[in-house]
Amino acid sequence: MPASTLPAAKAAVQPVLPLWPTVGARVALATGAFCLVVALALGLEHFRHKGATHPLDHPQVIKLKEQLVREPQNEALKKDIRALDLQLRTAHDRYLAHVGRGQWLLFGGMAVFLASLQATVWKKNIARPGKVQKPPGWQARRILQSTAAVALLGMTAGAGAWALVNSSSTRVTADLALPPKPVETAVAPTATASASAASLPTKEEIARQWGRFRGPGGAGVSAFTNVPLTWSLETGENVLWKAKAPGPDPNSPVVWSNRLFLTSGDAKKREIFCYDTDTGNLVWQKTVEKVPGGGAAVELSETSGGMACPTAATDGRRVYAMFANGDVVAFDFAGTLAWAVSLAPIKNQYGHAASLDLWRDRLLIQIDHGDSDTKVSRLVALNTADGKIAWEKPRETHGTWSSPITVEAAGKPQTITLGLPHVIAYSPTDGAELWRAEGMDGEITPSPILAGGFVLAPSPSTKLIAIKPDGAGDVTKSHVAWIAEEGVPDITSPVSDGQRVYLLGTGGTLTCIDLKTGKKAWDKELELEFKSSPSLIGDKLLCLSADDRGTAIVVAAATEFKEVGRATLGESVAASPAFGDGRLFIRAKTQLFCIGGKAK
Amino acid sequence: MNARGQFPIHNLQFSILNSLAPLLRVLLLLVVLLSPLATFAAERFPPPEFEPGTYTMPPTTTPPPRLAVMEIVDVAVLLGALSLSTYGVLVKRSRRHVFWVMVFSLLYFGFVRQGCVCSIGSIQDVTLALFDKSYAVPVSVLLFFLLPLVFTLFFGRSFCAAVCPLGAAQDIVTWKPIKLPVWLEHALGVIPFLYLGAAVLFAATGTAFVICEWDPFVAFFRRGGSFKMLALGAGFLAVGLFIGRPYCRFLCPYGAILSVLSRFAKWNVTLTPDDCLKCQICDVACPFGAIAEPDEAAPPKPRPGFGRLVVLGTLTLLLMAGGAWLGGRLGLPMSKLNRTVSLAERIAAEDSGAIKDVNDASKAWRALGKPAHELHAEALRVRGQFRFGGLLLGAFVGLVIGAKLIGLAFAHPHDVYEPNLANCVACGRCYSYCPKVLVAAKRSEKKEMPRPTAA
Amino acid sequence: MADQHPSSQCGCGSGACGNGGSAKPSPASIQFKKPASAPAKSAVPAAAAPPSRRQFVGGALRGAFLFVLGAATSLIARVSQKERTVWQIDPTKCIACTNCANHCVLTPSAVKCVQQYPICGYCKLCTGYFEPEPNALNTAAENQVCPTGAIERRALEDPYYEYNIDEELCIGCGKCVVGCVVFGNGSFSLQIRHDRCVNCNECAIAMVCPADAFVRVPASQPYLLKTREKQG
Repeated sequence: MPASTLPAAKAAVQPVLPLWPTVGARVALATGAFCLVVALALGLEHFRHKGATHPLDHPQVIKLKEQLVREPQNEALKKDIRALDLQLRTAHDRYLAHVGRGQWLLFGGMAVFLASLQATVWKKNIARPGKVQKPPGWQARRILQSTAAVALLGMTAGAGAWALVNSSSTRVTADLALPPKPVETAVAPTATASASAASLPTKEEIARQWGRFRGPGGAGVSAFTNVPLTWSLETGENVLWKAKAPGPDPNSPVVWSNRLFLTSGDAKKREIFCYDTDTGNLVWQKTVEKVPGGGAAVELSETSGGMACPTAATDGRRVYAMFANGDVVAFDFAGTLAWAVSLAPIKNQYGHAASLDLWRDRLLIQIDHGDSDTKVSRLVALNTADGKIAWEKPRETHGTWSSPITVEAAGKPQTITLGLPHVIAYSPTDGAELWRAEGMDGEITPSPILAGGFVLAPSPSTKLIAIKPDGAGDVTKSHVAWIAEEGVPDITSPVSDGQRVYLLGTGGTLTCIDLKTGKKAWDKELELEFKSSPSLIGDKLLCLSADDRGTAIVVAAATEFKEVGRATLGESVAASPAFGDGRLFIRAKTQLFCIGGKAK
Repeated sequence: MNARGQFPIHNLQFSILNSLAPLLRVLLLLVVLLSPLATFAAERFPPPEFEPGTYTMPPTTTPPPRLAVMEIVDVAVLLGALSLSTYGVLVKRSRRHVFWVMVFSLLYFGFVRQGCVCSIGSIQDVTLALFDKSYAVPVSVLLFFLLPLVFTLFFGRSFCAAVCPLGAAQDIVTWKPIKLPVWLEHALGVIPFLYLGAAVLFAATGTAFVICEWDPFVAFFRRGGSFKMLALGAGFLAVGLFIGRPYCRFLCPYGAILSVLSRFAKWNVTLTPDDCLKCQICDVACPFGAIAEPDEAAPPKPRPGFGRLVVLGTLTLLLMAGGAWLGGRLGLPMSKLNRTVSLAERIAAEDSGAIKDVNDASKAWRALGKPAHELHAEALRVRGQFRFGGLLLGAFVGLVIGAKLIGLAFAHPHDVYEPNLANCVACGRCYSYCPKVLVAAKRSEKKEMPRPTAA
Repeated sequence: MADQHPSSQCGCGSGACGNGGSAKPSPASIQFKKPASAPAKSAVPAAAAPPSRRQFVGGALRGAFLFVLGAATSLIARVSQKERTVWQIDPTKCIACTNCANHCVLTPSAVKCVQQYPICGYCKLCTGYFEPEPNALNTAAENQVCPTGAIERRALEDPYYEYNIDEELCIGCGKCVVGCVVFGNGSFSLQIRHDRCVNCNECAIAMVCPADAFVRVPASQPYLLKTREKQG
C-alpha cells in the first residue's frame, strides 16, 4: 500500500484514525491463521500422497497384479484390482483437486493477509526521531566496525571455501581420462599358458585397435573415418604432435588405446619404445636383454632393412616384438618384461622381416629363411602368456619377407602365409594346414589380404592371385578365382574397399583392379617411390611416399582415379601408418607424427 | 524395466493362447526381437495399410510455442515500465506513482509472464552467449539485460524501484522494517557480488543457471513448484516483512551491477540537499537503509591520505592473489555441480566398485556405449575451466572486498541526509516524508506561491 | 555519487569544510540556514551546475560503461543466431525415466506423451498400453500400463487398434513410452508441449535429465517427432 503522502509534521497533530490498523490487524490475524491452516492441510495432503504419486505405483496394486500373473483365471482378484484401482484413482483425483483448490486459497489468503498487514501500518506516522546526540567519534568507530565486518565476511567466505576445498575429493583423475589401460593379467613371466579367455581382447576391441602390422587382419583399413588425411607442418593444422622416432627402422607403429609401440635395433642393441598417443611423450623405452639363448648377432646384407624390420604386435595386455636375430620379447604395458625367448638361428640375407600376428592367445611368427635346400623355414605359434611354443609347422619355402595374416574366412580362423611357391592357410589353433595354392614366385615381400571373400596373394611384380578360402588341400586348380598381372607391387601390400583392390608399386604406379573379375579398372602414375603400403580410410586411400619430401597423396577409392588431397611430412616414410579414433600415426624416417583433428 | 519387460510365454495359459492366435505370433516375434534390446525402437510392426477411405489417420498435433511477437510486447512493456518508473522517481517524485507502476510490473512480469523473462536471469544468458558460440540468446533477453543497465546509467535504479517483479514482491510485503546496523549492511552488501561472480562462472561453463534455480519468487508467480523453491520464497517474504527487500539488498546479482552503475548515474534520486533540515525523517522512513547520514561534525576528521590508499591498494592486490589461489583450488568442488563432471565421478565410482548400483544417468550413459575415458577427459576439461574460472572468481572476490575497504576508508563527505546512490532502489518513500520535498511539491502544485524563506 | 550538491565541491578535500555549518551545535540554526540559489526541487540539479571534476569523471565512466555494454552487445549479437529457440526432448536420447513427470515447474508437467500415428503399428497387443504380462487384451484396469488412464484404445478393422493420448490426463511419466520403444515401433515419445511450456531460461527437467535428452531447438520447428523415414 502506498505510504502516506501527508507531511509528517501535520500528521502528528491529527488524531490517529484507529479504524484501519484495527481492522487490518484483525483481518491479518484471521487470514494469517487461514493461510496457516491451508498450508498445513496442503502439506498434509502432500505428505499422505507421497510414496504413491500415481495410482499404479501403489504397492498393493503391484502386488495384486503380480498375483494375477500367477493366477490369471482369478476373477475375484481382477475385481479386487479394479476396485482398488478405482479407489486409488478417486483418491488421486481428489488430491489433485485439493491441491489445485488449496493453492488458490492459499494464494488468495496470502494476498489478503499481506494487504491487511499493510493496513495495520496504513497512514501511520513515522516517529520523528529528533536530534540524536551521538557520542563523539561515532563515525570513525562505524567505519572501523564496518571494515571489521567486511573483513569478517571475507574471512568467513575464505574459510568456507577452504573447508570446501579440503573436504572435496575426486575419483576422476588424469589417468582415467587416458584411453583405458588394458587390464593387466598379472601373469608372471614364469606362469603357464593358461591365460584366461576373459583377459583376451574381444573381436570388437581388436577391430577398433591397431594391434599389428596394417591393423586388424593386416588389411590396412582404418576402423575410423574421422581421420584427417591432410595436414600442414607449417601451420600445424591437424598435426597433433610430433615426436622423435628411434632409428630409421622400417617397422610400423602399433597402437592400442593410448599407447603406441615401435621397435628399433642394430647389432648392439635392440629396443622397444612406448609412446603416449595423446601427447607423443615417450612413456617408456626398454632394451631387450637377457633373452635365454638369444642376443645373437646376425649377419645382414647391406641392402637389409636392419635388425628391427618386423612390426610389433599387441593385444592390449602385452606388446610383442621380434628382431632379426630371432629374439622375441613380450612387455606388459607398464614396461615390465613378461617373457623373452629366442627363435634363433635365423639365416635371412635381408634379415627377418615378417611381422608378428596375433590370434587369441597365440603369437604367430612366420620364419621363412634359409636356401631352397636347407628346409629350415617354419610357422611358430607362441603362447602370448609365457612365450612357450604352442605348436610349430615346418614349411618348405625358403626366405620370404611377407607377414602372415589371421582372418575369419569360410567360417573358421585361418592363418594365411605366402611362401615359395605356395600360399598356405593354417588353422591357428593347432597349425593344421587347411589349403594351399601354388603360384608364388620371386622375393616375396608383400603380405596377403582378405577382401570380398578372396584371399589376395601378391606374387611380387608378377601377379595377384585371388583365392577362395573355402577349399581344402591343394586348391590351385579349383579355387583360384582370377589372376591379375598388372601393377602388382614388389614391396607394398594391397588394400581393398570390398569392391576394388588397389595396388601401389614401388615405382609409383597405383593400379585399381575390380575385385569381382580381376580386371584392371584404372591405373595412374603417382611419380614417386613408395615403400609404405596404402591404407583405406572410408572411401579414401592414403599413400605415403618414400621420397625425401614425404609426400602423402590421398586418392578417392572409386571407379576412377581422383586425387583428393596431398600433404608432406618433410621426410621419407617406409612404415605403414596406424589409425586410431580420429587419429593417424605415421612413422617417418626420424620422426613420429600424430595427425588428427583438434577438437575431439 | 528389462526384468519386468520379459514376455515369458510359458506363463500364458493355453486358453488365452487359443483365443489369441494373432497375439501368439506377435509374442514370438517379440521374443526374437528381445535379444538385442534396442533402446531406440525400429519399425518392428509395419503400419497397416488401411483400405482407402476407411480410416483417416489423426494428425499428430504440434501446438506452437508462444508467438515471437509477444517478445516484442515484453520488451515494449519493459521499456514503458522503465520510462514510467523513471518519470515517477525523477520528475514527478511521487511514491504513489512508483507504487502503481510497481504493482503493474508485479502483475505483468510476475504473474502474467510468470517471472520468466527476467533481467536478473538474463545475466546468465548473456554470459553463456559470450562463452558458448552455439547458444542463441534471444534479442528480447538481450534487451532485458541491457535496457535496465542503460537506464540506471542515466537515471539511477528506477528498474529496481518499480519494474523488477522480484523487487516489487518484496517491496509490497515490507511491513515493519527494522534498521540493520550499518556494519552489517556493509558486510552483507558484499554477498551480491560473490553471487554475481559465481553465477557468471556457472553460466559461462554451461553448468547451471544458479540465479534461475534459486529464484525465490518464481514458484509464487507460478503458484507451484518444488518445495525448495516454495520454502525459499516463503522465507524471503517472511523475512521481507521486517527487513526491507532482503533479496535485492543482500543477494541480487543484477542489483550488484546496478549499484555500481547507479553511482555514476547522470540523474539520480535526490532529496533537497540544500534545504536539508537534518530532521532524519528520511532515514527513518527508508526501509532499505539507503540514506547516508551526514558526517560527524567535530572534531574535523582528517581525510585519509595517499599513504592509506597505497596500503589498501596493496592489500587489495594481496586479497586478489589469495582469492585467486583459493578460487583456483575451489574449481574442483565447484566443478562437481557440472553434469558431465558429476556423471564422470559417478561412473568412476561405479567402475572402481565404490558404488555398487547404477542410477538413471549412469545407465543412460552406459547405454550409449561410449568409452569412459572420453567422458573423463571431458570432465577434466570442464574442471580445467572451473579451475581457471575459479581463479578469476577468487581474484574478483578479492577485488570486491578490497574495493569495499577502500570505499569505507575514502567515503565521500556528506553534510546532509542524502540517498546512498549505490543502495537506493528509488522506491520514493522518502519523498513522502521529507518535509522539504513535500513543501516543494505543494509549491509546484500552486505554481505561483511565494517561496517561503524558512520551514 | 556524481550529483553532489555544490557546497561539497569546494575542492579542499576535507569533510570539515563542507560541514562548516553543521559544526555548530545549535540545531535551530541549521534549519534556517539556506543557500541562496539552490533549486528546491529538480530532477536534474547537476545539469545546471558548472562541470566539476566529479562530473567529468562520472561522465567519462558512464561513457566507458556504455562502450563496454555496446561492445558486449555487438559481440553477442554477432555470435547469437537470429532464430529463437525452445526446449524439446530428443526422442533418440530419452530413456523415459519419469523425471519429466516430477520435475517440471508446472503441475502437471508440460511434457506429454505424443502418439506419432504414421509409425504406429496399430497393434492389438500394444506394449505401451498393456501391462507387460496382460491378463487379457481389454481396457480393464488390471491390464493398463498408463497410471492415469490417458491412453484411449479404439478398435478399427480387425486386428488393428488406434491409440490416442488424452493430454489432459497425461502426466508425462513415460511408462507407455518405455513399453512402445522397447517392444514396439516407438510411436509413443515424450515431447514438450509448447502450448503449456513456459520455456524457462533453464528448463528444470533438463537440469535433472539423466540422458541429456533436453535440447534447444529452433522455435520454427519446435518438435522432434519421429518419422517413418528416420526409422529406416
